[in-house]
Amino acid sequence: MSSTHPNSGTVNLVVALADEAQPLVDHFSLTLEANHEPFRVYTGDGVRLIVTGVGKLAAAAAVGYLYRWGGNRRDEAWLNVGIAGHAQLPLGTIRLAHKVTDESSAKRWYPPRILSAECPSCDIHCVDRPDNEYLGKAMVDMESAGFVAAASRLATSELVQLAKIISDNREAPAAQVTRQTIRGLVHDHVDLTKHLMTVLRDLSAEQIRRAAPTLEFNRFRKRWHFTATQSSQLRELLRRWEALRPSEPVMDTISCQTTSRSVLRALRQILDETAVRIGHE
Amino acid sequence: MIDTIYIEDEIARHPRTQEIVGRFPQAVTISCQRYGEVFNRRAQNFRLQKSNPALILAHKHDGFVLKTPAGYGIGGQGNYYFSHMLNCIYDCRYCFLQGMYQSPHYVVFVNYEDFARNVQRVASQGRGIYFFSGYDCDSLALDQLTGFVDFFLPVFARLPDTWLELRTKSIQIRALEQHAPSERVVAAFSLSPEAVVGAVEHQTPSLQRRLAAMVRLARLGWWIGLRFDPLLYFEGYQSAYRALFDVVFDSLPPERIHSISLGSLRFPTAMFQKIVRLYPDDPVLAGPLAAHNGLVSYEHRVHEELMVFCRNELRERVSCDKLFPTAVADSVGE
Repeated sequence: MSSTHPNSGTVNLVVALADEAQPLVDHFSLTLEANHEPFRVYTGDGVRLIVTGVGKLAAAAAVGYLYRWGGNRRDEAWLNVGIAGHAQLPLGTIRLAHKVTDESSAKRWYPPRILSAECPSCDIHCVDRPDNEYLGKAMVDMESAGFVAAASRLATSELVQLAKIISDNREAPAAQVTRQTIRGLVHDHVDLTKHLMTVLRDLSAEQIRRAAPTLEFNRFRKRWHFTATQSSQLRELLRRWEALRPSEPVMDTISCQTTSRSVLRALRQILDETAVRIGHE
Repeated sequence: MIDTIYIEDEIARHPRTQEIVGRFPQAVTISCQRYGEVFNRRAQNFRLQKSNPALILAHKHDGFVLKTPAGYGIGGQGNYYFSHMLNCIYDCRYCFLQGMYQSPHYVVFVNYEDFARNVQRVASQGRGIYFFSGYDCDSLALDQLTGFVDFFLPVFARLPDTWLELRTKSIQIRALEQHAPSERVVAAFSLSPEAVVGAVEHQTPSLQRRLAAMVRLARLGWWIGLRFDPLLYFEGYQSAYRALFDVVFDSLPPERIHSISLGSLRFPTAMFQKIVRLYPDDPVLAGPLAAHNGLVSYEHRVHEELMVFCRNELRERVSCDKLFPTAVADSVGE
């Protein structure tokens, strides 16, 4: 269903409102998937976007939905983009979140600051009702806790990030925010959003590459029949081969073997005779 | 450069916290209730975070002083370790810490006074007791930040017949230089052939710089420990280790060598599996290793060859009573 390539990185964009989504959909030329109930899902090259609706429960449900929809992959990145309030920060300021506090439960999450070079960060409080008091020092929104609670279960925490754009503050309260304002705010930060997505996507791709079985693993399994135990041994031997004999095609060396057992034996013997080279490029 | 500091609420006003934070005026500080909210949680990736680890300032509540695993020692009647810090600024591919913790952040427990009280209590229960401070961290690498030496040297100076080992790969010896050498403190340097330092011990000072720091301390009258651990098995290991031993023993005044320990590469099995997932294509982790009794170590033949070679080379250069080979069944340390 997804248009993303399974071995390249993927970023799942999670936004609450259609007006937050539209500038991103336009910029990344995302396509609305036909079957979009109960959530609108857009896809593009290495990107999925879901419109969650307002509130942390909706955000959590949407994350779960998108995870299933995308094929239950635990190596993808998740980025929540949206508007937030803050007592003092000027309108249009963008901040990553480095601590998410759910006001109602007092639960906290700490998204690792792996993007700290790209954008400043601050705390965010997730509230159940719109907050017009602007008393605290943190950003305020209504989705962050639901997003981070759900996404942190589906990916390593470094790949779960939140970028919030200040739409209202003590001087300019939320009542003044219009649909057009929201589109404009997100549009103004689309380049930075794209940059954040690129970094996250690269990290996602790195995760995929590291965890993926080598191409040879699949080729071997097509050619010989390996039991589950043998498959596990094969995977380990091929890992060692990649590390110790990276420039030598393993299949060429082993192709004369007739059974899975003899394949494993031959691999093991060659590797045991291979010197570990340290400090050689 | 540290750009993020997590601070437990409980110690936010501790003078040591304030002093450390004051050294990083540009860093973002983030409050937390307990350091476990940030450190070592599930679903964290050590390798992704290692490019930019944060500092975590925390309060240690219990487990201040622990017995070392059996066989870990340099001749003491009792062996204990204590960790004012978790994790290390270096990135050695063989380090068990990357398999032990999910996160590479540096945790510093600022309540040194509680460590000191517990050290004193344990020390009072025996004689000839050794305390090791570099089990979960490098003792000196962040000393300019933590002030560990300045605090703990006077503590140990007051304890009779009690030894402290500072184990390090660093060249941060400024604090030691400013103290009078103690007869019961060992500055123990982890040493490897230059090829290993360059290819495996990422971000560590070169062998030459470590040697210079070691020699300087020796000339000032400090006891020096030599830690050839882990020994690695690789093409040309004989000439590499022989050259290492030559340069070390040519440089150091022999009368200042306190002890020499050596042990071959080994990991608890579960940690090895985690480390391999982080660095599947690293040659050090792809050598002739085998799992046995909960440990992954070199196959017996390889282990024996490596240990016998290094032990014999060392015996030609130093008195046997200073030599402490670590059995493969013994646990690991930084």
